[in-house]
Amino acid sequence: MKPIFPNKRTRSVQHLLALASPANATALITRMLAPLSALAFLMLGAGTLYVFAVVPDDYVQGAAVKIMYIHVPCAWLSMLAYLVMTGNSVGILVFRHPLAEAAQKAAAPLGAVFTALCLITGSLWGKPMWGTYWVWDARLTSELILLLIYLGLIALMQAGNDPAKAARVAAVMCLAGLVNLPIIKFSVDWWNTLHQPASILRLDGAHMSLDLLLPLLFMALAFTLVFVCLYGALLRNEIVRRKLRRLKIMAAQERTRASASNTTHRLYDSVEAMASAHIAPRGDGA
Amino acid sequence: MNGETSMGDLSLFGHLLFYIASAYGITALTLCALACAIAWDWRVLCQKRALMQNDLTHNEDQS
Repeated sequence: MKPIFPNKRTRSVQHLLALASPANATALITRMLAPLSALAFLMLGAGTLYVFAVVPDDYVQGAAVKIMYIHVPCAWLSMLAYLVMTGNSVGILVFRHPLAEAAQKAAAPLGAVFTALCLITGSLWGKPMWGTYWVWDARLTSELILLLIYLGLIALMQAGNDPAKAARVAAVMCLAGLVNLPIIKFSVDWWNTLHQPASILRLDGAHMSLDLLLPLLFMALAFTLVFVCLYGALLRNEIVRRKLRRLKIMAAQERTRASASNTTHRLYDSVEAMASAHIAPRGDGA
Repeated sequence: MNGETSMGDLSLFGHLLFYIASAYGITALTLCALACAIAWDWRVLCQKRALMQNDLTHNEDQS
């Protein structure tokens, strides 16, 4: 393989890229998927039990605060999935790495699912707290736009017969859509919104009691593990799907070659038969 | 109130319970459905891969 990076320092990057081959990724995912899934399931169960059995209700929201323990992790993961897709887009456009194409395609449906869950759980929290399921608030609208971007990217990646070309187009669109992430994050600061301002990821520290914050961080970790497991499984499926596609093309080429060879043999045999039939009577006659 | 739970509190909790149960239920069902769909897809892909490899080996043996 011809090195992309000519000097010694950057050659280590080349080595890392070689390590991230689809075969290595499939082997790693197969080894890690079962233990990680078990851990994610246990953490999610323990976290939910803790939230319902131990964590106190909020003095303003009451028991509705329990929705926050799934809504906030879903919102974080909806943006994390987009960041993962952005990293893969760089991998596609700069390094043209085959794993980046599969990784980008695997992240899009997961991002769409977590964004939809964030919107649904947010609506279910909004109805008892705000009195409505939906308002055209800057935070809610920018999150809805993120869902639409995910759906657009999924459609784009499925379009056309050439997956590599579709991945490059989707990568450019993904980088263009990155502008929506800071809008989601800072929408509550830039505009006057019904959605409350950030209470955890703030420069002056979290504005939240530790009794509520620690279970939230635990649930966020559990949801992140679920995300990692689902992403790994989706990525493995995508790698095998691409391998099958290559095998199918190879089999078709093999069949075409075999049928061409059979046709040549048949033609040769018939020419030989014609020649012998043409020669034989003359031989008999002589 | 004197620290006692009134009927109003209970009815408010019941009202909130619907939204809380819906939020947790929809999230759990969606994630389970996604995990099942991925597992099913993996099963189908494995079967297809085995068939394809058999075909290729068969073709190679014939040639």
